Amino acid sequence: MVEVKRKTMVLGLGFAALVYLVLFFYVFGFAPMITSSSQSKWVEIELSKEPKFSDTEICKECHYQLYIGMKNHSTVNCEACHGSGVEHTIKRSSDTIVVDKTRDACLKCHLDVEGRDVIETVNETHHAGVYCVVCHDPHR
Amino acid sequence: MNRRDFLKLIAGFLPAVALVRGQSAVDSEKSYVMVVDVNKCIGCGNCVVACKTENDVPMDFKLSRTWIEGYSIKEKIPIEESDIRKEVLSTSKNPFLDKSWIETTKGRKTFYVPKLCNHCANAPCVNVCPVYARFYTKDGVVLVDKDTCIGCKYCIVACPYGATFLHPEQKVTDKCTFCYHRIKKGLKPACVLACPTGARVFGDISDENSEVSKLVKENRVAVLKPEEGTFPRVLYIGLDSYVVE
Repeated sequence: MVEVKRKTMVLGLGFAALVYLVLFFYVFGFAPMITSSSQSKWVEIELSKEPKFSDTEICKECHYQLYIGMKNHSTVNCEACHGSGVEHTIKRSSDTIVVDKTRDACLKCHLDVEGRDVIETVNETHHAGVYCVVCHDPHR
Repeated sequence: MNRRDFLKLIAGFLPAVALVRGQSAVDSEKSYVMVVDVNKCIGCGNCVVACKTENDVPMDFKLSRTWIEGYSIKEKIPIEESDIRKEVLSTSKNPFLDKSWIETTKGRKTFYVPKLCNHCANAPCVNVCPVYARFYTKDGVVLVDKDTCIGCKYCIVACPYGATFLHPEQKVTDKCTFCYHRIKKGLKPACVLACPTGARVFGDISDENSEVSKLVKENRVAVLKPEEGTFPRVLYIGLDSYVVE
């Protein structure tokens, strides 16, 4: 009777060890080897995506006068206000770039909200209803 | 093969496992980090709009790859939960321009914290992914292989920062990639480009002359939730301890 019990125990433990080892080798050994090829494939897919935002360096190729005349907004990238510009660099037409002259476009940053200490802010009552660009040129 | 040989074989296999999993970024030449200056953020939401445009996340969807948390705190000691007002900007609609926000924050300590995926060096989302869809690139960026991802959302539960979400159209998980397709072409990430005040700075920390290295050298930087042991790649200047999430 004792003999049989020991045999069962050895068999059971052996089976458990086998299952553990198979899982161990699968999880840490084989699966990463299989997936690493799909991961490098994904990196290539990721790199093949086309950027939608260009850079100020490219904008200044054509708009050089605006670029050198800039004082207050000289550290702000063009596309921060004008939106994505890759299409505009290809088609070079005025309908492919955002030119928002409304009050909201300026007040998005310059409205007097608490916590905006690093920039100049205005109250909503400051010449209410008049577009900011009537008096202030954002490119100066 | 006796038992000793077998154990030797196992012992020899363990370092190989560590190499295959690619956890170490020792052999890489670049190590990307983003430095966020909380003092400079004005909560305009340009980064959120730019990120959603660049990376095809629906503009009206309430989650985003990057978002801004606005905190307004009535200063007293001890501070209770009711003294902190928090709003999240994650769509093109800016809650910080609302009348209610402007009125309640008047005179209070108010600051805006831009948040994004922290690209942890020990990322919980990579550790829990059952199909190995999440992985580290050689530069330390954490990417999601969307062909392999099965959308089981384990990573959403595991991420301590809430930086990953289920893409409503692609039905797989999505998160910030540091604009991997842009930075590899030498461009800035879309959020860095769109930031009007320069609150976000992106660069290579292993290069001593880069802008981020200088910022890290000159300022005291902090990371979000250091107790999680994730070693984030997004470093904050002027971070306040009220930012618990």
